[in-house]
Amino acid sequence: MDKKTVLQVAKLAHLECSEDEISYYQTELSKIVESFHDITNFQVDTVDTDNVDLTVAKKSTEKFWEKPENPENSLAIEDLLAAAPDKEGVFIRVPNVLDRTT
Amino acid sequence: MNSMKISQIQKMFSENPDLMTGFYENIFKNIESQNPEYNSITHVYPDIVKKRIEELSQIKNPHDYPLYGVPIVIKENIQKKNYSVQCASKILEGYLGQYDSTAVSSLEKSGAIIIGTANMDEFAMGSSNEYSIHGPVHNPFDKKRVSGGSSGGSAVSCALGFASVTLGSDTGGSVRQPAAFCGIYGYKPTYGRVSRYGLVAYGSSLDQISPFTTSVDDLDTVMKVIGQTDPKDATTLLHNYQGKKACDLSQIKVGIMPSLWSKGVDKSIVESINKTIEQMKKLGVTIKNIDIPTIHKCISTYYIIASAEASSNLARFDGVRYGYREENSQSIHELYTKSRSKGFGKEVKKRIMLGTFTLSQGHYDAFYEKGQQVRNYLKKEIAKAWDDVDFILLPTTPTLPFSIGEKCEDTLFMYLNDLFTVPANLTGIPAISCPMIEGDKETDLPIGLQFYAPYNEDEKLIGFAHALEQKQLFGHHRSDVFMNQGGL
Repeated sequence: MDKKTVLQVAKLAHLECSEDEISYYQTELSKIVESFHDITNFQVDTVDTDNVDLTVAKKSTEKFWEKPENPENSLAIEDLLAAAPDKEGVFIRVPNVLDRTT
Repeated sequence: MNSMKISQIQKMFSENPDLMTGFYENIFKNIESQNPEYNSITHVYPDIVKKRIEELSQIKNPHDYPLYGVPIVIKENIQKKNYSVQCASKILEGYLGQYDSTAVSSLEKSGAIIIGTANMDEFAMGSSNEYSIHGPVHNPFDKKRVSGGSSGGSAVSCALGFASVTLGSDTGGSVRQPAAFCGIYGYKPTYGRVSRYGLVAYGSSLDQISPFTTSVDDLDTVMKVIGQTDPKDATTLLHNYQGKKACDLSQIKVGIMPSLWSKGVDKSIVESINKTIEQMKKLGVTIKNIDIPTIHKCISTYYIIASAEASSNLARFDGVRYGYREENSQSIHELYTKSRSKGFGKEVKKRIMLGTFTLSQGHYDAFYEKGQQVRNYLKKEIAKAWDDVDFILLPTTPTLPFSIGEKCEDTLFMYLNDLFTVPANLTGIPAISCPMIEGDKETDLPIGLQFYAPYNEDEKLIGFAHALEQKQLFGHHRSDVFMNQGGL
């Protein structure tokens, strides 16, 4: 895994990496991904998975997936605001969403 | 003492609720004196417990409450209002529960008292409870060794008798593995059997709130309470846990895969399993060799799927609504990135990176999609095994508890430690880790034996474990050590 890939993945994950971290992820992620080859080659060495579907949902849960959604307030606004690191009135305060370069 | 079971505590307090105050004072004293050595508990709530005792003392029909006065500890990733839900992470520093999870509500409705929260690996990612902002948890049999993880704090709290029942969460073995390392029972129910409402998500298609106990009867009692349908969980099962089924051992067929543990498993664990197989045969159980070839692919499949789900689930921790926020950020994007980079620990960041990578363009087909296909294929193979056997026997762990610090930099060793536990999460089936009556001959460290059952057969599996427990195959083999230490 090259440095460019690590930086691209970190950007997608909203993480920033120091030079040390970049080299750590290069080594660690390469090692892990390498160990995944037993399944990336799965089709070749054992069975053909092309016709195996991806779903693992259980039949017995279907009824609940179809249940009517009745909105309820499960969380009081004051409880929600109590946990916020910064707030103003009933709003959670954050820095600029649109910065000057946007 | 650890030998005091739920039924005894319930009976004692139903007959005399006044005994609760002194009993709980002792529990807190005991935690205060022992916890610094083991680090299994992160917070206790004596004032809330005091009010709860007053509330319970007013109840007119305590006999109707199956957990009346029973002390319980919950993992720090389960919501209970005003209790810490820090998930052992800096990013949730100071975060308190905002509502009650369904499992906690059910326990309290049955008369239980939640005394505190347990240490864990950060966001339940780990197999040794070393990746925690609170520091490592120490094994009750040897303080220099790990407790197992990720629910190590819950396992040790139960083993030391701080609570009769403790709750953990099992995504890839995070309850069964520490149960094996600490000499107690750990039970992962069928996926959907216990509501996940209020459990901080790691891998949503794998997570299951799971209990630790020191006896099968206690396990059965707590499952009757928390194994309920819950409309708040879209993946809930449609019927409730009915209580353990009676089991005639002479009618039972157990599948084994000796080739699976012929390599890479500690000799003492293999010997212990072989001895148990012989004992089961003497009790009339039929043992059959089975083959599930795809089981060898489970570790890769698990780490692809779990990390992918984690990268999505942990996107919500961004410093905006709760927990740690990096000050002086000039834009919202900077706030997200800086808060997450400083708030998450090393292992969590690694798994987020891994999950983001396997879901990214160009890699999705090769990893995530393939992982889901292998998962489904495995499910079909295991389903086929049930044509021939009632249960499948496996070791819980390939090794005995290892030393603290010994393996925490060895990623692949840590991941391989989950080899025997992840298939149950990938396929949703129930699985139990039972403490062998004898530990390792040289060190006396505990050994766990695991059984899988078909999907939705929780009652049958707990009934089978109970039948074997009655025949003295399992038990807390060093209960003498804990008798005078425990709070109960």
